[in-house]
Amino acid sequence: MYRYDNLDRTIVADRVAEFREQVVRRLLGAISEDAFKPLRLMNGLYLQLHAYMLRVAIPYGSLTPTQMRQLAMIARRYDRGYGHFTTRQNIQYNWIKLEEAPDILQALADVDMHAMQTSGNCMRNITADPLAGACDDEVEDPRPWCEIMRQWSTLHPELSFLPRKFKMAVTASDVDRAAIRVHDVGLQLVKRDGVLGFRVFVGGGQGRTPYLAPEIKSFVPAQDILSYLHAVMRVYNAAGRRDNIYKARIKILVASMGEAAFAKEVEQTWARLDRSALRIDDADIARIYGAWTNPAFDADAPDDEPRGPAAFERWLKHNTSRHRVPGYRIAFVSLKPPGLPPGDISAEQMEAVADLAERYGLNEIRATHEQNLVLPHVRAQDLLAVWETLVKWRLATSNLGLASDIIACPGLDYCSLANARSIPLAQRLSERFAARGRESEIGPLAIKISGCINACGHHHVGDIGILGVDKKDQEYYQILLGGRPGSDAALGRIMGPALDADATVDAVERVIDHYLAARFPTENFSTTLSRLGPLAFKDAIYAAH
Amino acid sequence: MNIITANRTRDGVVVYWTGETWSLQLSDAALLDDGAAAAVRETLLKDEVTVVAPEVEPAQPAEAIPVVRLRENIRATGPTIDWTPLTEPLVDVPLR
Repeated sequence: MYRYDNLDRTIVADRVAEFREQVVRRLLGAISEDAFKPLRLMNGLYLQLHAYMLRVAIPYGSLTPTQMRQLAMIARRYDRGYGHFTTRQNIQYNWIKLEEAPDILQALADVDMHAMQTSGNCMRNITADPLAGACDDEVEDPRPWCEIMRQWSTLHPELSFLPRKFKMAVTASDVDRAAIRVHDVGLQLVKRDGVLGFRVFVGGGQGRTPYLAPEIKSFVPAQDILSYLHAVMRVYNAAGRRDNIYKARIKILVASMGEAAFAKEVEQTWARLDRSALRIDDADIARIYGAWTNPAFDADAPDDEPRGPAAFERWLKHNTSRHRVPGYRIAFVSLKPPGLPPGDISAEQMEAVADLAERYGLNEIRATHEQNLVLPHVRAQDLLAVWETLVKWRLATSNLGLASDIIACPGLDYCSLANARSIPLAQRLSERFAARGRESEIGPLAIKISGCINACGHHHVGDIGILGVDKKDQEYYQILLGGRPGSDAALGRIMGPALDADATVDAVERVIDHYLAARFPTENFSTTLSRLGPLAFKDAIYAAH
Repeated sequence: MNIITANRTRDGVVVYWTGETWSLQLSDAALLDDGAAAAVRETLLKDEVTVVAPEVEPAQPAEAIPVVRLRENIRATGPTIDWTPLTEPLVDVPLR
C-alpha cells in the first residue's frame, strides 16, 4: 500500500481548505451555482435526485482498515449509515449535505483519502486489477505504476480541462480483471525480453456509443509511460470534440481518425516531447517503492486446503482463489446477497471487514469494479474464521461470478441521469436464481444492469446486459447478450424491443433455460452463446410476446 | 397544472414551492398553470442561496402522489428499494 508523504498530504489539505471557502461563499450567495458547480464536481460532489452525492476516490481499489473505518464513520455521521461501491472502485454516499461536505473531505484527508477528480473533465480514478499483488498470474504488481500515474495526473494543468471525462484501467496479467478494453486508456504491464513495459489500448468506452479500445502501441518501456500517455492526452486535447458532449470522448476521436492515424499522431507528438522530463528514473521508482508497505507474509503458513462445513466449502469454491504465496488465499467479500442492492454496505459491515483485514488480512482490502470487496492476503488456515465472521455480517454469499453476482448502477432510485430503476430489477433477478437453487447448475454468468445509456452498470459487457429506457414515462428494459469485459472482450448485442420489468425477469430466466437445454457438458453460458450466436436466444426472450 | 420543485442548496433536500415559501411536503405544493409556473420559476431561479435548479413539473392533483413523472414520484417518496442496512451481526446463523 502506498503511504502518503508530506506533499501528498499538503495537496489534499490545501484542496479541503479551498473547497471549504468555496462552500461558504456558495452558501452566502457570493458565488453562483453556475460558477460553483464545476468546483464541487472537481471534489466529486454531485446533486442527485434526493440530495448531494459524494464520490470518494479509492486509488486502484486499495484500502487500509483505518481508511475503511473512516468510510464507515462518514456513512454513519454524514449519511444514512451505508455506502455504495461502484464500478470504478470508488465509494459513493447518497445523502450528503453541502454544508457538511468540507468536514467530510477533512475526515477523508485525515486518513489520506480524498474525492478529487472523481468527477469532471479530467483524469478520473485509475482502476486496476483488484487482485494485484496477490494473484499468481501477473508480471508484477502494477499498483506502484498506477500510483506514479495518479501523481502525474493529479491537478495537472494540461489535464484539468479535457474535452470530457477520462478513465484509465491497468492490468498486469493476460487475464484482464480490470476491463481495460472498455476504458479510454487501458494498460497491460508486460515484459519483453526482460524489459518491463506496457501494451497501450486507447479509445474504449461504454455509454451511448460503445467501443473496444484498439491496441495502438504494443510496447512502451515502463520508464517512458508517462511521456507516451502525455502524447496521447495532447492529441486528445487538441483534436477531441468540444462542440458536442456526445462526441467528446477519446473513443470517438480514435474511431473517426482511424486507429492507425491516431497511433501515428501520438507517435509524432511523442517524438516532439522532451521525454527525459517525464522519464521515470530509478530514483522515482525507488521513491514510490520506498513509500510502499509490503505485506509481511507468514513463511510457515501451511498450504493445506481448509475443511469445514458444507456451506464453508461452497464459499471456498466460489469466493476464494489461489495466491502467489504458498499458504495464502485471496478471499472475496460478496456485497450481493440475493434480494439486496448490489454493492451497498452498511457502516457496521464496513467495520467488520476492516476488523477482518486487520486480524487476518495483513491490513489490505480491495474494492472491485464488480462491486464486491476482496481480502487479498488471507492465510488458508484462517479462512474458516474469516468465513464465520462474514456469515454473521451477511457478507458470505457464495456467488462470485454467478447469476446473483449482479452489477447494477444506482439507477432511477438515486441518479438524476437515469431513465429507469436498476436496483429493484437486480433484486428480483438475484432472488429468482438464488431461491431456485440454480446458480451452481447455471455456472458463471455475468448479469449487468444500467439505468440509462451512460452504462455505469456496464451492461455492454455482460453475458446478459440490461439497459433501462424510458418510454412515455414507463420503465422498459432492453436485453443485450454476449458482452465480455476481459481479455476476449466483446460488446453485447441488442436483442430487440425493450420489455417491462416483469417480462424482463421472465425473459432472462427463459434465456438461461435455453442455455441449460442447449449447452455441451464443458460449456458455460458464454461459450454456449458464442457457439450458438445471440440470435439463437431471441425466441426465448420474446416467447411470451 | 404544475408544481415547482427544487433541491435545497445547503443540504440537497427536495423541496416544493407553496406559493410563499419552500416546503418539504409535496402536499403543500402550489398548483400553477403553465404561464404562472414559468414566471414563478424565473423569479425563484434568482434565489440560489435557498435552492438549486427549481423546475416546473407537471402535476396530477387528483392522485395520491400528485406528480406525473415516475422520477418525481421517487423524488417525493424516496428510493423504492426495500432494504435496511445491517447494523448488528446476525444471530443464530447456521454455520454448516
